[in-house]
Amino acid sequence: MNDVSRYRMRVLAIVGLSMLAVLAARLWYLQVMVSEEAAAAARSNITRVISVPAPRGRILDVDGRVMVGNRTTTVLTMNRHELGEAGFDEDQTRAMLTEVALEINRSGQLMKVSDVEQALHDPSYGRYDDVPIAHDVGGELLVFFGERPDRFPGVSVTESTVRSYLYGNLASHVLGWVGPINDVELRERQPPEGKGYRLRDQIGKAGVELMFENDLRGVAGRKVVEVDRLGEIVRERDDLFVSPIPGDDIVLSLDVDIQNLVERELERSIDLARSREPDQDPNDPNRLLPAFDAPGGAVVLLDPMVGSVVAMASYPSYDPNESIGGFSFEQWAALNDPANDLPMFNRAIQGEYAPGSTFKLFTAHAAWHEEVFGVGAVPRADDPWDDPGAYVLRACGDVDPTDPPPGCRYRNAGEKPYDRVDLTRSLTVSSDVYYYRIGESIYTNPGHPDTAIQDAATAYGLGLESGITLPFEQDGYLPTPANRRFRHEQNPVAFPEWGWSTGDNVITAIGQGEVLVTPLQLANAFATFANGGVRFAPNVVDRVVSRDGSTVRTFGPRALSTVDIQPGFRVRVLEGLSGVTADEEGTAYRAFNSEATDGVYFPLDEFPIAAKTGTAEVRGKADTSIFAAFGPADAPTHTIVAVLEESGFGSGVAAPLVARVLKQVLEGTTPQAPLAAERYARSAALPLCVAWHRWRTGDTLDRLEEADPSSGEAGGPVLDASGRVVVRGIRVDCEDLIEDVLDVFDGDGATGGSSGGSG
Amino acid sequence: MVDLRRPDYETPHVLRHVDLVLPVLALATAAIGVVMVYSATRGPATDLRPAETLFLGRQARLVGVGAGSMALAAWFGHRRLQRMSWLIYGVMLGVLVAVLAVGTEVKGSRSWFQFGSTQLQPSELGKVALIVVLAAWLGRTETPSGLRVLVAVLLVAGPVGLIVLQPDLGTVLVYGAIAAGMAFVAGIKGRHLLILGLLLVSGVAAVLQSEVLEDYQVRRLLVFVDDETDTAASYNLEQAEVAIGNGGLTGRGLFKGTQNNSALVPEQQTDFIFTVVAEETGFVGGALLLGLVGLLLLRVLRIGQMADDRFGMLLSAGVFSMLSFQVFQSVGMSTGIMPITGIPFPLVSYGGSSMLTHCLALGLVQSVHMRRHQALNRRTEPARRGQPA
Repeated sequence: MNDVSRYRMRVLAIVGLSMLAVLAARLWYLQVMVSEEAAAAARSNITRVISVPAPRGRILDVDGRVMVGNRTTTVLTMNRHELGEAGFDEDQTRAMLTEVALEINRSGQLMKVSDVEQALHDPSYGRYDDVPIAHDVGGELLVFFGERPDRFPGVSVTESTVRSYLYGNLASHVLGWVGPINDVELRERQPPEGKGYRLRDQIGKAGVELMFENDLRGVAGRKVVEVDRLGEIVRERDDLFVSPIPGDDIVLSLDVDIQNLVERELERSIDLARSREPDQDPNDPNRLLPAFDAPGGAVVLLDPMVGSVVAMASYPSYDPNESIGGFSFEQWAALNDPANDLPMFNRAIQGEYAPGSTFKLFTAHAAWHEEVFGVGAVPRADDPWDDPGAYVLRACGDVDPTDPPPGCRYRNAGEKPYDRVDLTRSLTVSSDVYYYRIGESIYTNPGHPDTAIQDAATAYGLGLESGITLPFEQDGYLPTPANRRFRHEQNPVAFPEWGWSTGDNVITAIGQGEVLVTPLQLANAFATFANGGVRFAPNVVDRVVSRDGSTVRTFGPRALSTVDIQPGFRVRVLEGLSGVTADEEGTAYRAFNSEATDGVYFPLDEFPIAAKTGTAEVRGKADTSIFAAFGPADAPTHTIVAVLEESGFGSGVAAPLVARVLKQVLEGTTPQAPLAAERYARSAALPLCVAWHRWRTGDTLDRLEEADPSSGEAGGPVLDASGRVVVRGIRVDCEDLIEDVLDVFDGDGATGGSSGGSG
Repeated sequence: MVDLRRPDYETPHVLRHVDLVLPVLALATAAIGVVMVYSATRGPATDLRPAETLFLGRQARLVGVGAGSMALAAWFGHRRLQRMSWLIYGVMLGVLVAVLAVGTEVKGSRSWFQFGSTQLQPSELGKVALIVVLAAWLGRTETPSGLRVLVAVLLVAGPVGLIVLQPDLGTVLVYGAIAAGMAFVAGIKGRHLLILGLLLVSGVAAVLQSEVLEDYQVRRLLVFVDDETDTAASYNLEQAEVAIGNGGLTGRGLFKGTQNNSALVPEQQTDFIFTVVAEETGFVGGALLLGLVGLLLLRVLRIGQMADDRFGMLLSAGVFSMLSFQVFQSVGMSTGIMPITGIPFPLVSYGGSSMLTHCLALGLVQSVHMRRHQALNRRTEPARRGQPA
């Protein structure tokens, strides 16, 4: 061994050991000097916070029956990223989607391949999101797709909680619906502490779901999981779990059974109206008047003493259950298509209609309280005078009553004359001429305020938002000289008229012209009269309760103002309105004392009903049929207004509807509202029950054949020997079902009507 | 009469000179390795899922195999290998060619033979072969001539070329470090060293430019130059540094490293095993391990200095170079001061080929220590023969 090698060996040792020293120094730097940063990074590195959505609060009816709850559903989702990673070509992808669609269909959800593709390419989802494809698929798909990740990359089946509207489309306009939050809502909504939103969180879109969003929404919890570098969950940190706080329940003032009754009766009345042939034009025997299209209607039932809403129906309606998973493009388009009569439009608070003769109550109020009676051309309220059936304006001077200049002559409906009309009888028989005279006198006599009629109507709440706790309420319109001019100045093209003439006042007096009210406003105005003059803001929600049952807040009666109703006026009007149903000359006498025109024999002795018919003319269309009533007249518990578009006289359609509803409500015979699932079960069980009935009795029930709703589903309901059918876990007793169906059929006679089983 | 003052060199008793320090240090290091491999592979143990012990068992068995092969190499002796060096070189080239032809490709490198469930990486064992061959070649003269240096360069170029083709950058670097360290200690002239240095630099540049290296390997090297280059490639480094920093001064505790338990550092039981050591035992544990390796290295070098033949000395220098470079590279890449190339931590990382290679190498160093008096003995032999009985 030479010295060079010995020397170089030492150098090598120094080099080697100094390398170790460098490592030690680096280690010191990393582990001691900047260790804090790394420790922080390590903590966030391995933990992921996952939000645990809180159950949304339920919506209950006045008796605590759940109308809206939550349920779990099996959702099939697809992940575009994972699908892309699989490297399928176009044909393979299509073949796979076809197979997915096939499996979805097999599990009971009808779906086309194009539906799957469309759902998959929903632009509101990101590339890495699990896009929901189909809801309520069978649980067996969980196993099927779970076992075949190679053939179906990115496809997974999971459970999620969705909203459940237990009564189907019942009260859908009040309840509203929920959907994923959109950009605007995300930006503008200011949620309370802890209830913040993240993209695609569910949010109320309409009705109570929207109005009470902050109460219904719970506080999301969170769970912390540790993950590995592939993002796989390694373990859950139970110590860091924060459980979600469920949202509060909303207790409505609605009664499910009455709501159901009202909706069924409204639907039936619409069907009846549509089945009628249009009338002949009295002026031209060769022409028909506009057809009774009856595209929609609304019914509002209030408790007049506290101003709460007992039932509120709008036709047509929609099933909010369809919003689960988001309305499809087709569904959304159909729901907002005017050709389908706008099912999402809540006619009870958004529909604006001319009130027609129901408005005479407020004209009478103005005349009495502004002391129009007995002044000038208007006789005293108790002095009867003969109504010839037509009225020529005094302002037109002495003209030929049979051929007056245009705008001078105003007629009763059908120019029908009434003899000996006073204030009371003017309401009972609905004399227009009586109110034409008042309308002219108020405008032309300088002793009366020009807008006395409108002021009275405003005092009853017409032309004002009622203040109901529902979104998107309309306020109606009361024409006055001032606001007609204002409207013209704002938009001269749309509103060319700017002046005000006596004729305008005359037709306003009978609720025609430009007067527009919502059914709720009208009901609330009649409730105000019924309870003696207190105008309430209607409540649709009674109280908010937390999940443990304690009350969070209550909405008592919200009195907005009082109307001064003099006793003398009230007595005369009550008598007049009661005569509408009880007096043989009353406009709604037949509806309450006969079954000939779909009315009922109403127990008026026990429950006297004060009511007013309304028949509002709409240019180019059939009349709007309106009926407002409250009862019992002496101690009212219910106020109801029914408005049916393009359906004819108020006495012909709306009045019988109200008669049928009030009879059952006041007598306490309202049938129990069926759950959507029960309705489905009953319609699905009907064919089997008919067969069973035939086997047992020999009665072939031929008259039911054409109403056979379906031929039954494959592998569906099974009938047992005792006449019971089980459909999706719900038992239907055939005997009861046949009885109910026959009731409807035989009761309706030839008209058929709807069986109420269209679940 | 037996002269007690003179040992009987006729029948040399090699066991008399067994060095105990070397195997004790090596086995201590390997024992730490077993624990760390277990920690890196046991996974998050829960009530439902007991800790994974598969790798623990395998690594423990490998340490046993390693200890056996260390003893075998020591018994067989480095001198016999010296005589067989050309054969060894030929076998090495043959096997490296064979692996390119019939080897198994793992993560883009065709470096493995697959025998049933076990894998063998011939380029690992090739390290020992190269050390033996170079030591034999360079040990023949006191000061290697230019021609001898040139031949030595060609001897190295053969296996290196074959490994570049696999490609396996890390092993190439180790071969380079072994050659450089041995050439240096062999005493080649300064200008030759300079030429060799230039050759190395241009060689590396050529490899980087050529298309032999896989993209990911080039990317990893570039990550070292510029941290922002590629997030996917810098991920390894970032997670490794987080793991090490997370250990702090005294560590998170054995089996309690969160980065480790969440398997956030890739290859944490092999090339990145040091991150587990550093995270769970902290600076104290990491420095202790480095100290242990330092003592082992010093012992290897000391044996080389004590060797009475140039072959034994160069052999020790080669093993020293190999071990020190691998430790530096393995820990250096985990701590971000060296580019990321797959090199295991000697004796600690999980893996049979690596364990076998380093145990064989240390066995040969042991042999150098055991037989350090044989050359002296051989020189005195003729004199004894001349003596009358």
